[in-house]
Amino acid sequence: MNTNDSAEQRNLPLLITMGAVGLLVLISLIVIFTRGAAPAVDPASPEGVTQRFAQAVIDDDHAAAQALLAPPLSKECTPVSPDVDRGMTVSLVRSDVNGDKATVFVDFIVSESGGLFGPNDYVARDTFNLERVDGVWGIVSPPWRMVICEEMWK
Amino acid sequence: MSEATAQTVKGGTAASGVLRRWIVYAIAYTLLALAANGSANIISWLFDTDPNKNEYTWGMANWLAYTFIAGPLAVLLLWYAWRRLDHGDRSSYAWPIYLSVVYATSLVVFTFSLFTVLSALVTSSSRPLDAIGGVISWGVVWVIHRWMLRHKSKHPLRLATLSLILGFGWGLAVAAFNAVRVLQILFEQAFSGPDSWQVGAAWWTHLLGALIWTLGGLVIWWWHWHREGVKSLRGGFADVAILIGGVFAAAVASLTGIGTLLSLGMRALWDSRLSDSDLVSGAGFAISIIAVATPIWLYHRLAAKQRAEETRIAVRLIESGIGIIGMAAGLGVVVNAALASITSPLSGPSGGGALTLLFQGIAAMLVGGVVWFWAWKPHRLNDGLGVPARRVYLVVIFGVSAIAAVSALITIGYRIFAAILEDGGNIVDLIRAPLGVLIATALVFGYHFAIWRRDRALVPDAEAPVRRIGQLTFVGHTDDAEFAKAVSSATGAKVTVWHRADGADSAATSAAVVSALEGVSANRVLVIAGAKNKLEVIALAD
Repeated sequence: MNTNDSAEQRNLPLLITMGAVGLLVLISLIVIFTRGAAPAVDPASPEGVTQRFAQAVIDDDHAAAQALLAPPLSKECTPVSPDVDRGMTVSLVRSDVNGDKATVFVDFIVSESGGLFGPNDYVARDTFNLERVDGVWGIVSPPWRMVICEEMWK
Repeated sequence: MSEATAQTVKGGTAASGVLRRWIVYAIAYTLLALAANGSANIISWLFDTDPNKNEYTWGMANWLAYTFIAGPLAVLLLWYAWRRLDHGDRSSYAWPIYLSVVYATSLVVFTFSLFTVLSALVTSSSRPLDAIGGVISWGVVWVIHRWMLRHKSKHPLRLATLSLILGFGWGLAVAAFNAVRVLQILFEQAFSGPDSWQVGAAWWTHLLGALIWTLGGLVIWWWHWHREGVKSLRGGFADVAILIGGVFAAAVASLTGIGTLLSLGMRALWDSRLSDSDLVSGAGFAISIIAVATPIWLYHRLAAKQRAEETRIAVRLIESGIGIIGMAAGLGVVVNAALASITSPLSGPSGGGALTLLFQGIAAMLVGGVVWFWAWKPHRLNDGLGVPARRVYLVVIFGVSAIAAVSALITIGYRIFAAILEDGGNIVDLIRAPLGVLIATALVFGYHFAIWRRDRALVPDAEAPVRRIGQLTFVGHTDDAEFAKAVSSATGAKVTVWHRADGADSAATSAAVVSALEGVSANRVLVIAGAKNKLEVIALAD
């Protein structure tokens, strides 16, 4: 009886830590599930164009992606395979609009095999450069992972 | 041929037997690894959904050779070795080491491939079955060797639990590493979640992938710790694994996390240069590590406390060692940062690095100091007086700190001379880093050296067992595997055991031999166990 009590007492710090971890996880889940959906972006804005382009590249829809490029790439484009995987997440960070030029910052979230005890997650920040031609935003140069035309390498 | 001659012949081939075992097992391991690797690649290729896979055959010739040439040879050799496995093999070191190496390799590749496949299925990766070959081939190897390890009449007699302890360590590491990933993704999403669009895989697919790895690691850990009984092993590798993986590594990770969190907190309060996103992602990572490593640490220190006295003392000394190193490193960094503030003010544009350094140093000092105080109990110095491990600890700490202090001193000298000769730079800036190290390590050295001296004055050197006998040859019979070790530790002699061919009647226990040697003093001693267990002790002339 006595030994049992002392064993329980010594277990107390462990139980408290586990409880605290459980509480943190619970709070995080509540925060995530009670948060409203992110506001929709205007599909014609630089962010919107980038979103549609990234979606098309990940879906391997070359025609849809090419249509979002700025001329002359939207007309002439020798297709190359982009370096994307369906397991990859692209997330908008922010955008800088300066007249007819815009830069959109995104995070690529990738789980890559190669760690010692499992995959490594990494977040790589990269940029899309856009230009407005005749009132329409088009992509001039995407991040290297999303290069879909040979001409972009030049 | 009489029985006696047969025994002699067998004894004469003992040395070549050892060599044969190592060579056979080394070849078996190589062939097995080649065959498993080759067949894994072929199976993965067969499952590959890529329509153009017939063009990707550049490894195929190798894989075919590995599978269809190395494979059958491996099976043949293992079959031969398994059939011939006798008592000599079972009590050798080659057999358990072979088993442990294969067990660990196959378990790692098998589970790594399995979790890769399972998590690729949920993350909808384009080629989910890339690793399926590893699951099948190495899974088979693992199952076979697990069976051999537990075979009723052929399991190894020494180091039989080494494989299981390795499995326990692998499971713990996989579970811990991936649990940190799960929490990090969760906290990142909850506290600095995206305020805008995300395309591609949803964030929870990353979480689910990491969760699969974590659960898989937990299953491996649970299987070895509870089912295979590593939990109830006492002493030897089991205690070492618990101390290194469960106490040392987990404590270092947990305390590093706490220190990082503390320094981030100080920067958040007093350093306006810290951006919110850096604060949130840094804190999220630190909290994830703390949340995973702390329970592991606490759990294993409980497990270690239920073990032998030395293991319990080792826990305390490991924790106090981590504490003192943290404290000393922190002090060194604080001195460094303080001197940096002399040359450029901390709040100035170039002071950001020094300010961050200062906060990190203070955090390390605080965390290390608390742990050290709690584990070492400097106010109750006489608690562990006279324990051999404490003496080793003191010598290691003051030895290492003395070496570090001397290196720092030499670095300072070099930098000063270089500055004088080449007339470059601010002296304070050049020497502040090694000076911090010097001050911290000198203090650590001084304190531990003083304690060591004090211990020696209070408890004179324990009488080392006087070596009355140099070499002892025992002729007779013993069933006790620890016989030679026990006699050796009691008498200080180097012990050789020669088994009598007419064995059974002349058995002796180590205790009987030690008591028979009472008062005997000679360089070489022969002990013969005769009929009815009578012991004859013969001191030999030099």
